[in-house]
Amino acid sequence: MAEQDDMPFYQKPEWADVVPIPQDDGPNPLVPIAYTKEYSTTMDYFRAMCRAQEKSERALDLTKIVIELSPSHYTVWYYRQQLLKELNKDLKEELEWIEWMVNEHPKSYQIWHHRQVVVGRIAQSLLPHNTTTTTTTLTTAQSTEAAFSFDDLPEAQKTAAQELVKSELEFIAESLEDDTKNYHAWSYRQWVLAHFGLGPWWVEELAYTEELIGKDVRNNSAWNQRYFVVTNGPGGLTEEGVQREVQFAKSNIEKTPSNESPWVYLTGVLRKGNHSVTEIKEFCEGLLSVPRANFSPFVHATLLDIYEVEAKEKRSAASVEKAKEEAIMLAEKVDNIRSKYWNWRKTQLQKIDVVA
Amino acid sequence: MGVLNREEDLQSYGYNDDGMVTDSSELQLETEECIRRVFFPYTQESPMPLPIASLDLRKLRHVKYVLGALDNLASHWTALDASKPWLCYWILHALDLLGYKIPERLAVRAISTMQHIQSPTGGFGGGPGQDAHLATTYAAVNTLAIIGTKEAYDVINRETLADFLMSVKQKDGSFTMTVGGEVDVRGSYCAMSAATITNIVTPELTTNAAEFIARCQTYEGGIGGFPGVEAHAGYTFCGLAALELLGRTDILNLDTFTRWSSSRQMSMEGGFQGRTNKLVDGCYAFWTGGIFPILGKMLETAGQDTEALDFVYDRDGLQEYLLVACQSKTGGLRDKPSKPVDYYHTCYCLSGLSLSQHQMSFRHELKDIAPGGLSSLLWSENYDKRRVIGSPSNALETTHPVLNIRTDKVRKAFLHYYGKSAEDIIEEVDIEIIRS
Repeated sequence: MAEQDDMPFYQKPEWADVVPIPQDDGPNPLVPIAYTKEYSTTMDYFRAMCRAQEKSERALDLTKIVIELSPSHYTVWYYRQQLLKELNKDLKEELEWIEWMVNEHPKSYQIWHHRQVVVGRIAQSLLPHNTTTTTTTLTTAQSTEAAFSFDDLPEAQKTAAQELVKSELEFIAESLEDDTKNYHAWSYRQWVLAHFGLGPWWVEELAYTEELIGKDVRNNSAWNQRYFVVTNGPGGLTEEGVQREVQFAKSNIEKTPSNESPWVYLTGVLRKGNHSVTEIKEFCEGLLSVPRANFSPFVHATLLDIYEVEAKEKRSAASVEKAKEEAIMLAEKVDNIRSKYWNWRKTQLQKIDVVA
Repeated sequence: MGVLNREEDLQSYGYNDDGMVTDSSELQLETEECIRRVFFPYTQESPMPLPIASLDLRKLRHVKYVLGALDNLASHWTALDASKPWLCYWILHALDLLGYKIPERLAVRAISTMQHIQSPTGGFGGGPGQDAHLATTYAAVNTLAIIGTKEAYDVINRETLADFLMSVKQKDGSFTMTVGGEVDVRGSYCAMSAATITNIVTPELTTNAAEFIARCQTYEGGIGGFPGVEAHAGYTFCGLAALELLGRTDILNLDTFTRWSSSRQMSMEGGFQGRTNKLVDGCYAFWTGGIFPILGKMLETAGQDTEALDFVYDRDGLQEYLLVACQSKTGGLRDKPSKPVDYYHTCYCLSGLSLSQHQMSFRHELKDIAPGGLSSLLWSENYDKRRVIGSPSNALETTHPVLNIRTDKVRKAFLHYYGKSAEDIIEEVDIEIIRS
């Protein structure tokens, strides 16, 4: 349908019946934008379509024109979503266009959300007619309760759904190649996994996070995704999972002891698995004799946590002393931008009830 | 403390890449190099270091810069055609912080502009005729509160606003940003802020709201946009501020939250990053820096000695970063020296600067007389903890740590929307201030 001529759509005969509605900013508004004539006229026609809530092909075409002029105009996205539904459009084609848009505007809330809406609908269309998917509410507690159920689906639909997930994950991975920490891309990726739920993708996804961490061990988004996978996959975080993840984090810490990501991941996994941070005492103390590592603020911060827990559990004055030394080391030498925080932690230590 | 005047050379406070270079560490070192260059004239490494006292916030230039946007934006600004209330808020709030008195003619225009943007079905969109959106509703309500006249307040149709908020409220406690739009934690803050100011908070609005935000706290301790998503300072501030307005900050894991928040300050630069292993950015002076007043309240509530707490971050370091690296010579503030200025960064750099200069703290002793939304009136400055880096004239006006509009504007708005109960509380707060 792409017109090659230069005539703007509103000069064409098929638009002659529409009465454009000018923007009503009122007199002398603040922050007036010097719109191009093309933009302001396009919007005048858009307003007319919106007012009439016209559900037609020309309205659909118009939404694309508006979007390409002003991609963050969320009102037009919603209208487009309604039109796609009403007119029963081919959503696969829509996905291709969105892919192009995402590449142009990778940080647009609206474009990513639109993809989510469209994929949600494609998935919906694969289900037997009377089912409605509930909105995904992913809990961080146990395993996912997927909104989309593969159970009882005929083979053809099952395959189509699996293909859909696969292609979405590929699409997002491609987008992440340009910006490995794109917040919208990661959020959408989690939605895809949560929406379609338990499946083979969790194993692949774990491998994917490992691949990204291998490329950049400081990619905190990849670490966060790994946590998401191990805590939301089939069965959630098992004891075996905890041990595996602890090993994974430790090996990355050994490579880059001053890298915050694996440290906070390690303590996070221990906490989630109901393990005490004291379990990694030997590991942390060991790092003190590694020249590269002994000035890492995270070694000392974790030791502070460990000695503090020990002090509380054993009511040990000796542990309090060791914890204090760490706090002082952090405040004065290795992490002094945070000296107020470390000094505050030190004052907390005084409150621990000890036997001499 | 600060970052310009330390014992060792700047370089030694920089990022340690452990000899293993990755994209993240390369970017970080590049950024540090750039910041080091602008910091250099003030450090002991310089042959004739400039005194920190000479650091000057060029208020007049920033005023001129933001004023320029009010009357004429070039056509490329079409990209923000769905964000007009934001532009108004960023500009007017910046003017407020800079102490520039907003003239009557601007107030009249602001009122009319917002009137034409308000949706007939409630709330405010990005421009006339657009669907209502929580973010622009937040910005519009704040804009009108900044104008602070009866005419401004009366623009807001509270009944339809309540309808709009309920129309985007979800059963799990979250909010979609607009009807049919995306869910994330910003929505919780925008809804609670607008509802609190205009006094339309109801149990229906707040059901499960705190629980949803709590699910957004990650293993790192900060808050992400949606459960499972990475902890990020923007969403963390929104989640925390919303919880504060809900009176439910106790739902968070305080230890991991405190740890994550203080870990966001950059060792060399002094400014804040938004996520682990990402770069410093002036706007996080507010989103991350703004966590600390509320965090201070939480720590105090948990029994911490108020005297021992003076914001668990290096206030001087933040201010030095903003003053040296974020000001453009021609007016306006920015992310970092390599980035251009814009109104968003101007607003949030200044907001963060204000919150760092003035220690805003909560009057716990009065909380029983100020239930619900009224507790917003219990924030006031601890004058003895005021700390203005550079020239004393750098001092900005005080901003409310939860609502981020000037504290006097909060009072005025609450007097309008809450009447006598607000009046009484304000009187009590003033008495307490004189006493202490």
